[in-house]
Amino acid sequence: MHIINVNRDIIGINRKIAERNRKFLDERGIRAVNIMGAIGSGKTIMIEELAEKLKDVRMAAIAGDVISDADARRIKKAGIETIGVNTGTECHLDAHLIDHAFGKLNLGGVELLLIENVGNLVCPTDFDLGEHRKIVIVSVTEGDDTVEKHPAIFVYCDLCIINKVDIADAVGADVEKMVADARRINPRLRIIKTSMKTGDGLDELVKWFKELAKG
Amino acid sequence: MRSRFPPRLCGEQLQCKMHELSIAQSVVENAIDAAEKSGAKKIKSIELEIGLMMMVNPEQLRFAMEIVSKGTIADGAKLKIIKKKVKARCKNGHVSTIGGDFLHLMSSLSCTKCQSRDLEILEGRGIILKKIEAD
Repeated sequence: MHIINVNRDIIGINRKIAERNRKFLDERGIRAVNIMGAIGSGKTIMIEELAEKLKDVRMAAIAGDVISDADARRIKKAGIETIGVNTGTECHLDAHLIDHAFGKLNLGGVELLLIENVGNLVCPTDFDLGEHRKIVIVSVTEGDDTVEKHPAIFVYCDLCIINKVDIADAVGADVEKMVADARRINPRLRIIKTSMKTGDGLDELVKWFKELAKG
Repeated sequence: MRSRFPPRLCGEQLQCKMHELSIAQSVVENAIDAAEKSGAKKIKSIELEIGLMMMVNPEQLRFAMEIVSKGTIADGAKLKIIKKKVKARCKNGHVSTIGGDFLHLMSSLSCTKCQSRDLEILEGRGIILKKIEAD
């Protein structure tokens, strides 16, 4: 019997590809946002709203889904150059899938790349895609304890959107508890309360994306 | 006896999957690769260093490793997990080394000097296959 020193970084390859992706984007002046959140939290409708309200920024999108191209079709219909990426049994996008998606997108003149991750508050946390900002969308319908139950994703995000605030009372959710939990976990986190349906908070949200794209 | 896993989509993807079953698969693949390169026929033990920020469930990982190593030269190998503490710098400039367990650390992560939760994580996000014992 002998000992073999291996010292191999099991997850390092994802980070290497992510760095390559970031370089690819930087060279083209494209800012990328990794949009994470649970199933039904409002990721796709947010992109549809941005398509409507952020007309002076040229955008492209990568829509991650386990299966189906439903989200990709919605985003395309909203007027954004989009490629759908299916992950199959994997519950998150990884840098490698993004690398492949680059080759299928027309990125000419694009300033902002929106990457809609698979609906999941757990697994996408650990996967750098090569993005410049990470955002998480939680909605009041997930329960006002959803933030404290999934702390990891909030640790790494730059922006937290608390969505569907218009129906918080109807579902018995305390929005301020969600805000306080998110602030406690990550004091640097920018928090915007929205309703994609009524338009609450959308001006602030659109401004955030515009500043990122033009900044 | 099968000693290799079927190829995935492309070479680059070999090491880039995660969470307990995918971690297990990557670890076993890399361990087999290292063993074969040194001419070994049987892996007796595998030593992993896992950063506490990875939120890995060690029991699930052990179970997943048993499953994915079946029928390979890593079948029955003992798994040793070394916990790598989190190193973080808070907004006040204190650098803390923070220990704990994989699943609960994240909820209470704070500077050990001033309890600030405004932290920049310096270490604790990796999974390293340190060494294997093989015949």
